[in-house]
Amino acid sequence: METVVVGVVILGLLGLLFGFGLAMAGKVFAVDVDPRVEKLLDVLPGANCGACGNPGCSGFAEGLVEGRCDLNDCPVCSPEARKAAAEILGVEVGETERRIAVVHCRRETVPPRFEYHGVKDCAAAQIVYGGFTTCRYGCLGLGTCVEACPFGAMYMGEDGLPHIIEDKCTGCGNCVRACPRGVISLAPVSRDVHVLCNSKHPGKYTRDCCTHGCIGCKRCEKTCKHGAITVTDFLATIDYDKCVNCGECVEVCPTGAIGDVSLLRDRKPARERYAATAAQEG
Amino acid sequence: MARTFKGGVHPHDYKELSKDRPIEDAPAPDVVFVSLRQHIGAPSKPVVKPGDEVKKGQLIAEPGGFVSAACHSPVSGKVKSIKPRPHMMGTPVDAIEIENDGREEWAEECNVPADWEKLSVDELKKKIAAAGIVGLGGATFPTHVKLSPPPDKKIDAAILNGVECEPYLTADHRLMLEQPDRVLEGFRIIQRILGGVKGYIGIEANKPDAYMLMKEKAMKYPDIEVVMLPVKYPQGAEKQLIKAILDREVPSGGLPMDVGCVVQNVGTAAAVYDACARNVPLIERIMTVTGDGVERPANYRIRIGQMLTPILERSGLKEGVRKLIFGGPMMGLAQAGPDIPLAKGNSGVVAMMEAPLFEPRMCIRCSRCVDHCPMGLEPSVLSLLSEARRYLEMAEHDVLDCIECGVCTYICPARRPIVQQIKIGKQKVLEARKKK
Amino acid sequence: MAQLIVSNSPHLRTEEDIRSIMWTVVMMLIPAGLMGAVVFGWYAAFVTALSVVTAAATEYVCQKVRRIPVTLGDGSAVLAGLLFAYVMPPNMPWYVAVIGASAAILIGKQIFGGLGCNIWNPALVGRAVVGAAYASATFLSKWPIIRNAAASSAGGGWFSDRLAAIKSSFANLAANINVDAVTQASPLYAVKTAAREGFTAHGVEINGNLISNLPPGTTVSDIVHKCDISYMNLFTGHQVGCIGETSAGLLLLGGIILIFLKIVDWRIPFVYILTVAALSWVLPLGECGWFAGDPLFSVLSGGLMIGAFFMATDMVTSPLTPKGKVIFALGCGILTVIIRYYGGYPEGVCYSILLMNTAVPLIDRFCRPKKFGEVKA
Repeated sequence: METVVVGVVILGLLGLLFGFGLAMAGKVFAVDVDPRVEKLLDVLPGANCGACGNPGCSGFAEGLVEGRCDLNDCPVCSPEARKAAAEILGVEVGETERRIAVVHCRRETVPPRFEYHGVKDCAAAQIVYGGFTTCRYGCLGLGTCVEACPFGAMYMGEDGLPHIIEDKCTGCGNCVRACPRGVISLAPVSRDVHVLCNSKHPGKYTRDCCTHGCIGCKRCEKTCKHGAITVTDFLATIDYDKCVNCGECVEVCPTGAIGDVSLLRDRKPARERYAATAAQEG
Repeated sequence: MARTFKGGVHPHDYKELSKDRPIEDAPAPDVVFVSLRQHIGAPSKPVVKPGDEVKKGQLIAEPGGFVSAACHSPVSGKVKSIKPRPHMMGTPVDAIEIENDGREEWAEECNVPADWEKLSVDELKKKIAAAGIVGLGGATFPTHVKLSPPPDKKIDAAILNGVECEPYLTADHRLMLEQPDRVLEGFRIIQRILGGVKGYIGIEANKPDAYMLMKEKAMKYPDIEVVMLPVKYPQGAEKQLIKAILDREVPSGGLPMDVGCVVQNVGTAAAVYDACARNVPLIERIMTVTGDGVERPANYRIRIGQMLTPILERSGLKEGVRKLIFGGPMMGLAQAGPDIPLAKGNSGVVAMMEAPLFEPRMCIRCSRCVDHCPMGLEPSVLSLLSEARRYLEMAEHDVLDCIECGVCTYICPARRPIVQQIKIGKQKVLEARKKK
Repeated sequence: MAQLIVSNSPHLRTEEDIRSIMWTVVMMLIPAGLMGAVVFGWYAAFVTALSVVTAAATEYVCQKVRRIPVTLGDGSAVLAGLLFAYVMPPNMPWYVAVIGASAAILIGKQIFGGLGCNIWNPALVGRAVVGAAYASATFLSKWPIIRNAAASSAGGGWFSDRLAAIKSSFANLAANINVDAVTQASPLYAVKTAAREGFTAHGVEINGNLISNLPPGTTVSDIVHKCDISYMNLFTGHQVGCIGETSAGLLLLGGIILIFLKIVDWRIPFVYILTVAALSWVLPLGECGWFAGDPLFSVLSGGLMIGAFFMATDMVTSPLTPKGKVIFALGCGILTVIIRYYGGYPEGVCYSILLMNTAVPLIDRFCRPKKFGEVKA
């Protein structure tokens, strides 16, 4: 009985002592934090993905308050959250469309140049003899981008290519930075027509290593009525500000390098939708 | 006590395959592809255009910057094209294609004897720069830049690297045995350029014949000391060689000149001799072709820019070769095929019949890599950080000091690809530094 | 030409791999285990084999469940099972062997992610689990008397005695498990108790000898002598103790071969044993004074040899750098002597190594190797 009492008393006193110490330390060493930082942290995504260039959301919140960051630096923020954050900061932000990642490759159709032995990582494979694929611009398919995605919005498909889950992708750009070959880029979520090739090889070389690579024939460039496509270095690129999803280029592309990803995103083909809106507008 | 450095390993050297094969001329090429990227630094700029007639030894590309080197035609003939060609790094690089007319006509200023002892230091340096000489040990750093240390660096020693610590390779060994005078004279020119400094020739104990010969030949020069070094890889790495011979440590991030010395390969010395005493630019070199993948291992005198395939055929490339390595097996670059033009840095080609796939296991912290790392790093820690993609933390573990000698990966019982993991880390750390 | 293989340099690898390391260590442990079987009888060999099989089975099941490649072939699970059995008493019930060996693999290794990820030596984790779970069980405190110990002192040749022991153990397995009636104190326990209580008038009975009224100034060596413990027996394996710990000599031989093969670093066993020897001489045990210890007895008895050569040197759970290894071994030595002399347990090797395992990340952090070309500040 006595031992129990002694034990309880000693532990209780110790607890009190430490508690007091902690309370004092909390007062003495308290750091003044702008209350807005706390509020911002509540509305920011809290994913700590680093897309804004800060170590995490708290760093970004501090940056916003100090004025060295801009709200638009955060690609992950939902429009509502951005609005709420703007209110806290007392600033105005413009509406920007959500952007998501697009993989510009359909994978080469010839065997690799050599048998690669080494680290299963794209950046690592790239430093060994310039990467094992015959196409030096295409996806290596080792999934480094998938590893880099902090939102679980990517997976490696059976076709050996990374795929993006539209709903989960926040457009943070970590996959874009992780890819050693720049196969991935960010594009507005409403645009469904993309150049699914990254090859700057001359047309003949591209044709030799891939049945659906962009060979730089410029047919799309000539076809596009909106001036959205330019071909440089044997590769077509789409200016998403000008693109209207009409799908004309998809039709004329001889290799299928320009693709419509609508079906993957559970929408009707871009061409049909464009035709429908065009008909409505008369 | 034997002079050496800390760490290192001693793999079986396989030099017995080719060390007794005298140097022979490689088959004369029908066509050569002189790459514009055969050295560290800016690529060379071509000064000829398709259709031009060129003579052997004629300048065809000039240095593209301060750290860069000139290129010369290794044959007489006609320039056919300047186009990207396969390169030993894996990505095509512009190369000058020259068709050999078989006449072997020298350019007029070339191949005339000169008395180098009468030339001034500046004239010698100019000759070396004009000859396009780069480090022939494999690093291919332009030699004239290395021989021009800034005036605030006091140089008091020159080291001639005859170590050839990479397994399989015997090119330097044969060169020292067959042309000791060329090597020695070249080294004396280097000593003279550096201000008459004391010279050391480092040779590993597995080449006793070369050591004895060089020692005998160097007897008449009191300022040259020939040093026998114990056999250990990577003794031929600059920093380790300086430590072994002079017991000086090149500071982290520094260069040999920071501890007052300059290291040159024996092949480079021979090329320096050719440039200064014979007016012959760097258009050929000695290269070993060896490994269990060839019937007849040999040491060849090859033209810079000639294709590897015919040489391999001459050596009897076996059916079913699995790996073709440019350079030695410890630091060399594996190739996807033999259709590659040879360059100034090619000290050897190793063909291997077997290249097992290693399944890396988790690090078991055996500390073999830490014990053997010649740079005193912790490769196992770097490897784990790289695996976890915590690249930037690798900088705190001095990843940039790594010389990529491959000792850690060689010795790892868990078969971890440490060097490759370190390379990615270095790349990421440098990228991050650049951004700042 | 067939497609070539391209990988990053280097393109050569040494012969040694995890498998060869682990199996070599297992080989070096086998003589000591055989000695255990010879001394303690058939049942000791049975529980050893049972531990090994259980450890291997646990590893297999874990890796199957985790859907990762099964790596039984590398021998690390076998080694852990073997080491676990070696630090357990020969009369442990069969289910203790099963529980301990599976705990060694499960809690000691697989839970952290498998070989290379564990913080503690798996075998010792198994030992600690059993120690905690069966703290009051008799098999941990009462040791079976060595068969025919009396006969061996009566003569007739050591080897034939051992042969008789094996025969009798085959004949009467039950007696082997049921040893409550015939027990003996372990040398460490005997000497510790004698040093604490032997100075009093009523004294203490150790293995049939009453030790009392020891004169002041009695050294530990005197007590060792009074307890009828012979150094030779400790060295060859004729002692009461755990299965694999009996023969200091065979463990020493195996350990030295491992050092010669460069599989273990000499620093850890050397510093460990030296520290234990020095401290046990200096520190006072029981009523014996300072500088009255018996280093030779301390080194030869208990689990120090197996601990120093085979447990503390476990690669995964020891520091990376030579300097770190020395500090680690020093810590193990100090803790071992402190637990042995002043702790509640007669033996401290297991807990001292586990404690120092815990400190390894800290040691590694402060004992980085000297970098080439480090600017001297």
